[in-house]
Amino acid sequence: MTGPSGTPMHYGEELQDFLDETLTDARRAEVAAHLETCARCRRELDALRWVKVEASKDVGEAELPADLSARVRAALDTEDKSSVATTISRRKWIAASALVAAALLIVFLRGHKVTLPDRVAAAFRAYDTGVMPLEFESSDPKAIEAYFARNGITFETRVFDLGMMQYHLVGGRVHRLDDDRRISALFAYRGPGARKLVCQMFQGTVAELPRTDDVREHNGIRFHVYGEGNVTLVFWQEGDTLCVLTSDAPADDVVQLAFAKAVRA
Amino acid sequence: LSYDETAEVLHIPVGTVRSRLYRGRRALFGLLKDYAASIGFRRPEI
Repeated sequence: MTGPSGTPMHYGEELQDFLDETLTDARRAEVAAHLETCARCRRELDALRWVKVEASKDVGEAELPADLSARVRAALDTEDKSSVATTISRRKWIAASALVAAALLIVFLRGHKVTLPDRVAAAFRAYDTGVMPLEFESSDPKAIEAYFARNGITFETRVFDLGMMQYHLVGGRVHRLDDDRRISALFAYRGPGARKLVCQMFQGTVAELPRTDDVREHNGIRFHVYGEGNVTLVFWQEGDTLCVLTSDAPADDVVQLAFAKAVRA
Repeated sequence: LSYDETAEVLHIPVGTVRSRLYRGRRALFGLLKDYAASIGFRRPEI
């Protein structure tokens, strides 16, 4: 399909209509023919299909905030008005879209229990993308441990020196781990090839973890390994503290780092 | 609900239902693409 000037055109909303089977037969055939040759539209259709399938799964009952519906309607109205205005406020448009998406996300996530590995992986991504900065920058393990002690971490922390393994300490932050107001000592390293490594220590037990087929034993310690996309998470227990290393480095490297630094409580 | 039924309930035109649903699905995918990839979805970019 091409536009008036011969430039390639792509179907937008009509891909959704194609998915929802609301197109006429003739239009459906046109879209199908276009999909044969257009990778971009195929990708978009796959993404829309994924959302439709996931959203239609049984998510159980969930209690939503009382004002959610009104807020979504208000955000949508704002967005629709701004889209016809001569000067569109892009920031407002993005804010409105984000609110709508967040509302949909609440419904979606309520049905999918967010596990501890999900939360830890999310913290890694937030740090990796710059959304969640460190609060205290230092390459000195003792200085970071002292920072944690001064800022509400009541359990003993053990900030590793991984210099021998080419991972250099960058700093730390006191991180709110979950809705139970549990806090975590989070510290980060920069490794070979700009790889990032984040360690968290918090009060908890491995019994909180979902089942994994990848449990390894080393020096009498059991390591619970999870993969979330390109991120590897390795959990282990030290006394009352649950420790986890998270990184986008190769999975076996992350496991070896954990093997090297874990101690039996 | 169909698009028509949704339009009736929300007192908005059918075209608005359609475009809001489309934007919502795209935005939701944008937020969840890492999760989608983590459970095996292989075409996360739109």
